[in-house]
Amino acid sequence: MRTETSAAPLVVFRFGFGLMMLLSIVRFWANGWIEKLYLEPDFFFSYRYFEWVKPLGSWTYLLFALVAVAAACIMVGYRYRLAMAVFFLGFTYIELMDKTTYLNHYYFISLLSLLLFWIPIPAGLAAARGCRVDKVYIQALQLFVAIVYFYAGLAKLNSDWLLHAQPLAIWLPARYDLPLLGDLLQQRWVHFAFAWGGALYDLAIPFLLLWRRTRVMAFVLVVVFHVLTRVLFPIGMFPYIMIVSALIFFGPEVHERILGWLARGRSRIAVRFPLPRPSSDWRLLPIGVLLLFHLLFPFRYLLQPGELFWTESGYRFSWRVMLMEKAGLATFRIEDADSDRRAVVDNREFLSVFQEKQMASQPDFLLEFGHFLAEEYRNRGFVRPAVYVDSYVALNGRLSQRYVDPRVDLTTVSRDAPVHQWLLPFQDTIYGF
Amino acid sequence: MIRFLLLLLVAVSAAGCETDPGTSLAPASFDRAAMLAHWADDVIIPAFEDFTRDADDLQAAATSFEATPTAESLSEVRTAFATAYLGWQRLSPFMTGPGEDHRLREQLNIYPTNTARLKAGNTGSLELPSNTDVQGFPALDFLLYGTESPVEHRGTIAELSRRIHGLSSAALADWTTGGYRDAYVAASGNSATASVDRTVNDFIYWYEKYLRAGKVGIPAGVFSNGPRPELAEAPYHGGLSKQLFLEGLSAGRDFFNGEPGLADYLDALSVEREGQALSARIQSGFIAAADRASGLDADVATQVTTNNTELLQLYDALQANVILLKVDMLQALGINVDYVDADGD
Repeated sequence: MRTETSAAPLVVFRFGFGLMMLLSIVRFWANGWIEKLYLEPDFFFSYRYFEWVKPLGSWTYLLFALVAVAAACIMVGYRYRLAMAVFFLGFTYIELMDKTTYLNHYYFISLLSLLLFWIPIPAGLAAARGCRVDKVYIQALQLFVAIVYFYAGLAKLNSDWLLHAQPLAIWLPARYDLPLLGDLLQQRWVHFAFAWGGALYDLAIPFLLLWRRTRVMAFVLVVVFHVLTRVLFPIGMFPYIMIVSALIFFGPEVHERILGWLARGRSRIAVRFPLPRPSSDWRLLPIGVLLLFHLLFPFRYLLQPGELFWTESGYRFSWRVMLMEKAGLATFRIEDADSDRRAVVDNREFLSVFQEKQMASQPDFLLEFGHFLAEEYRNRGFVRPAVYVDSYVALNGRLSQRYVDPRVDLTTVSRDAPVHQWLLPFQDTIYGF
Repeated sequence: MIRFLLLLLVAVSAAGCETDPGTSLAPASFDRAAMLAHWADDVIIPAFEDFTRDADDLQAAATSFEATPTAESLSEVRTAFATAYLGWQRLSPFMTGPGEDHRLREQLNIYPTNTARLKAGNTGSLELPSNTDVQGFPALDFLLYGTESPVEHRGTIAELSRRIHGLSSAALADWTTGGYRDAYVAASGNSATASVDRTVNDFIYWYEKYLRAGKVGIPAGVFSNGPRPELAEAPYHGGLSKQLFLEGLSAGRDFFNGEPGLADYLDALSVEREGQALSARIQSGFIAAADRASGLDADVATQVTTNNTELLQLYDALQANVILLKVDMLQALGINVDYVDADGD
């Protein structure tokens, strides 16, 4: 059963996506973050198998410029597929340059841009009016957004979130300086209301958006929810991106009107986008594979032993948002097995404050930095450097606990070794997803 | 429908605008502005005033020693030196703002001092960053106790003493007449640049780098191959460094316990860890460190060479509180780590 429908929802989505991405890049640039995050540090944390992806020195600015131009092309619908390919590659490259800056919403954008690459969307704005596409493409986008919400909701069904309102009980009182809300955020019941409300919202909103009769109410909820998170937490462009994404659940009539408003005064006689013929069915294969990956990949943590929040094996790329307040302290000690030389490392000699903060509470960062230090101290004349780390981590308001096994020489641990072999076990239990 | 959506978008952009990080509002359970006022009026400014008075006595004694170098005037300079050096320990944790602007800690207490250049006597302008190690208390320690004849160096001793007083007076003036105090108390918000966050970050930095590492860890050899007694504080005096450490530790403890202070703040948020108040845990950490230090030799350098194990144990006791302050307390209070400004999710 294949049905054709107006292409307007796709065109509006493309326009919104391009606009949001363009604004994101401009904002990132204007905040001086390219310099600060990608040019100033001497060391960058890599993703496994992507160790070759590094910042490009001053050329990094060109990379951002390229991605910004691609975003602008996507917005207006000029050479859409080429622009989307450039955007996906460029944006993903940027995100892979340093693991320190990992955010779920950056991953959301990378994956979404790959999905959009396979979806045929008419060019331009005015010209696109009246075009028709297979409904399945719109449904693919709806499913993509719905999974993000639903999985984020599932991840909140754990004892820390529901029974202790953590980490909200730490974060919310710290926003005492907010007008109107500040006093309220000190109340224990407010923390629980936010925790349960947040979980319920994430789980229910995809269905409320899908159902026509609750759709407008659901969209109002989307706006209120994301504005609130924007006010409470430093989450940049993400709320706006999600609000724009949620528009995809509205029917074609709404999008026709948005398009009409966007393309006001413009001629409709521009080149017609050749409508995708049934022969474009092959596109459904990559789209299907991507959606399957989207459904399954977040569950890979089930293959790993240990508490997910503690080991973080499988924590990233699984829509676990705002679930942890984790702080750490890591002191590295280098000992030369062939002499009596030893040294204690000042992390800030190699890392920015931001990098050090991220490094101190995540096992893969600690290990990678340990390996880097071994190499660094070999260059400084240590013959056989052994690297040990004294590390403590506090998770969601628990007392800090020793993290990495202090007797383990990190140079003997491979990046592929299971984390539980060198990380001390978590001294508590968190129930749930 | 479209109008409705547009209206919503406008509302979003309006509500999304950043709130001013400096604005202060009456908080519900704990009054941060009151804590800041207490810190400024009852801790930091008095520490500046006390120290500036001590520094004034020091410069007076050094100036009269310069004019009439006798055994008696030398002894007076030495006494004033020890008093001012101890007073400095109570001020050193509070370099937020004017202290930092005037590079007070850098110019007053960077050690080891450069004895070769001090002996040569031609250091040039003391304002230069390259001259931080030929001035302040470590230089005076050498000139007063480490040279064969302090009289020969009385000009430098007087000049360095006057500089200590000048720097400290200038920073104190910024706090009081310069208006920094009011700006400090007014910035009671929550951001990396707000006063609570800055003061606490600076305090922990001092505890970690200057108290734990500078006075104990570095001479004990925690960061090197074997002990380094020559890197202890006041090595030429030979009987002051333990007292300097204890004075610093007690300043840190008083700051933590001040009412209202960080302990109150933690208690107001009912921060408990495994059945015990976090404030009590940190409090016992301070006490444990003071107990460990009580049996030490009056001179840290001597302690390093006679029985370094005790100093290493003191280091461990201090380190235990670094973890509680830096990891547990910062997390519980939601204090931003210095200058990290990037998006989260």
